Amino acid sequence: MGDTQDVKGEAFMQALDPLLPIGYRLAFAMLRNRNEAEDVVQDAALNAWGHRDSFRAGNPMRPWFLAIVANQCRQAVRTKWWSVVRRPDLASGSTAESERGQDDTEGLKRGLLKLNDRDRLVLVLRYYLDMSFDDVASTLHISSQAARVRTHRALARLRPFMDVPGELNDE
Amino acid sequence: MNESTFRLLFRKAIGEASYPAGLSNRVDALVNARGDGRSLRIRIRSPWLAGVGRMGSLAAALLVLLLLATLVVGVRVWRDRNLFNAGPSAAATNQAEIAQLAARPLILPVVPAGGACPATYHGSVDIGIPAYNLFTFFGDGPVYGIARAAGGESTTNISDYHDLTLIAEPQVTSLILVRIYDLRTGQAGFFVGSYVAGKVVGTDTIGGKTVQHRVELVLDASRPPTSSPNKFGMWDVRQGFPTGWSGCYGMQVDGAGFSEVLVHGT
Repeated sequence: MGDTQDVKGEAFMQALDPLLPIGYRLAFAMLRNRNEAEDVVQDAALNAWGHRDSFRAGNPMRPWFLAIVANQCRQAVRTKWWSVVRRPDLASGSTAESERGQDDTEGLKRGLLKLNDRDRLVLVLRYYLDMSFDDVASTLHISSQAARVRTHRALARLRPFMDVPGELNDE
Repeated sequence: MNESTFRLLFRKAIGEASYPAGLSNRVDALVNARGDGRSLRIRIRSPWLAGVGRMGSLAAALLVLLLLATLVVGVRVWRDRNLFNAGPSAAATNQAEIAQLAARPLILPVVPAGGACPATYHGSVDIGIPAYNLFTFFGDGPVYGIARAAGGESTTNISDYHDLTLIAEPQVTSLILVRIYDLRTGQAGFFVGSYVAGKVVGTDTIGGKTVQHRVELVLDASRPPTSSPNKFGMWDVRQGFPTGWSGCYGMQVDGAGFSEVLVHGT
């Protein structure tokens, strides 16, 4: 029995391994701190391993793992009390950018800092990880239509800071 | 604006995070280590034991909560008692020794803008106070730092402050000079409150009280304000940087027979 479990566990880790980079991207975008993103990915992988029996074989693992990463990010923010202070690692604008582009980027940075985790998550999934609304929906355990609506609302909350897309693609 | 343009802006605003080398290996190692323990627990659990286990888990959780609450309150009381009510400044006691320490060259690492912070995390050090085993110490000794618990950070219009405890091993009995820099920008940080020394580089108002920003700390390890049961000297200090600093700092700690660099990323 132990051997069977080991083989199953090894296959699980082989399937999980290619998802670690995208998990790291998600954590970085949510926490804006490289060290914390690394910690979150490690915790999420451990968490996924601990709950691997609840993962249904045949289902896509990516949204399942990203949901765990997103949850770990929320917990990381909540348990900040012991930490010193968090500084965003947001990239600074390129000098070659047009003034308008710089305005938009800075506006977006300010806007993202004002959003709550839920809104920031849906935008990160859609615009940083390039996920379709179907994939966003799978990760958030909501319908595709709900994913579109949530994206639309999150974009609307950015409107005071910058121009935002009025129309959303179907994909 | 369409979604494609917005996507480009979004990526620019967040920045690109290169995947850390070795993270996959660390995850594998962690999972392997955890996996062994998990399979053992599954085998021994019976329905009766599961019930006992649930009760035990609940009791353990309550105990942990109690311990954490005690830790938080205790550490804050300890900090408040020590931070602004320490003994006489060591700076006044031996200017010649301090000048010698200040003359030592800086050996702090240089970190490029956006580069990973080379934090010198050490794990915990047994100073004889069990609560401190919960903290991650940084530094390789003989002096260590730990970030303070709740309430250990504060921000004014011009500065970010962080409370630390500096801990010296028992064999350190000399004066200790501490200097602090932002490793990504090279900008000097400052200290406020007890044990400060050196040049005044600014002032600020904290809680209605005007404080001076000074560039050095001088700690007298022969007379620490607090000694742990294992005879480690302990100083509660407050460091700061101008708002907008990079989040990666290094402290050079010089004492008789040693120069050490403590690096902490926030």
